[in-house]
Amino acid sequence: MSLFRPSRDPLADPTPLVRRVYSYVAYRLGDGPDAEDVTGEVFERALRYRSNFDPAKGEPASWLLGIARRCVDSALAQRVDTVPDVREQPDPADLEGETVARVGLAESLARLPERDRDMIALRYGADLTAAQIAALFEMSTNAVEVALHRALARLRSLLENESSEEAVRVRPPSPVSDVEAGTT
Amino acid sequence: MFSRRHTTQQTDLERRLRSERPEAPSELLAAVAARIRDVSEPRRSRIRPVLALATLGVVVVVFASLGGIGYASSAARQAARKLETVVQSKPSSHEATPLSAGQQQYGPVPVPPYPPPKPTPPPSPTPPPSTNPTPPPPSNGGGGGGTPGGGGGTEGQGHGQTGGGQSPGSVTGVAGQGAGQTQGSGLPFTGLSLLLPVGLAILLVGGGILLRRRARDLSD
Repeated sequence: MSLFRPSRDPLADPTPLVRRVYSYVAYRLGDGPDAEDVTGEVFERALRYRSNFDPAKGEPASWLLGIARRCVDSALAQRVDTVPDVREQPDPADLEGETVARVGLAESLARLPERDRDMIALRYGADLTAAQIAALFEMSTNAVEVALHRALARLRSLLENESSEEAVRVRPPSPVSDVEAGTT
Repeated sequence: MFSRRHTTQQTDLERRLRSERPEAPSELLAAVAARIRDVSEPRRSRIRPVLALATLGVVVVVFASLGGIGYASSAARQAARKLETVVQSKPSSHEATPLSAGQQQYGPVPVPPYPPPKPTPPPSPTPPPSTNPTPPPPSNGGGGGGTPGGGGGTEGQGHGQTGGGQSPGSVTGVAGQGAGQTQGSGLPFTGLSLLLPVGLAILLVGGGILLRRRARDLSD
């Protein structure tokens, strides 16, 4: 009988779960030691409550991400500054395209409202489906899809603003304006 | 509603969000995996079935030592036999019941009611004849049983002492009472009353559930 049931141990194969949880946490808190600490805390809690896991209610990833959401919320509540300083101000002289893009994405994500960020982190960081996110948020799948669509639209506009600001910052001053400044 | 450009942009953004998502450092992966391996959950789950089997063995030994297996097997055999007779004697609804030879000759036999009705007890027993040394005066009514049996000697006297017509009735009454007592009481109960072990089992199961729930609350 037990052969046909899914495994009761949610942490039987931990490596892919750690990857997904870390991506989610890093999308919400920013990549780095904070995300590592919170990921470790998530798995400590999971070890403590692993006997409470019910495979009939969902997959281990959904269960772990429910724990991760609570851990991230408490970590965010402990933070003094609400907006993390993710702007690294790269030197315009040795700009690498990939680095600029990554910093821009992280900064734009940090500027998003917390709920949008949570949704994007669950969908694109932890690779949950809309139905799984709906179960976590206690919403309908359709409502989650609409919310994700809006969050992506906000992120896209933030990224566009960011790129236009960068372009203005990086653009060298025109010689005409210098001459005009010198004369005046 | 959405233009083709808009959809393509969104797909690109989604692809970018997936490809640029932060990756967990290998040290973190190794540390978490090692921590999970260290926790002794599998060992605990191996102890449980062993404990259950040991308890089952103890219960079976106690059951066998009290003769429970013999009782159970004989009860099962009796039940099977009874079931077999019921199945065999049950007539099918569509075929007519054949009459036996006796029934064909004498007609249907009336079935007496069960349980049989208790006979009414005799009104009052007559005093024993030994207390009265004087011979009773010859009576016409009471000696009716004895007088016709005068030629029979002692048998006729005996009937005359006990009061003729009442005597056969009193004998039947005693016999009826005896039969009634045997049917009412039956054989003495010699087995183990189930109330005690069932109560104990309910108590143990309830205690186990309470302890488990309490432990879960504490761990939460």
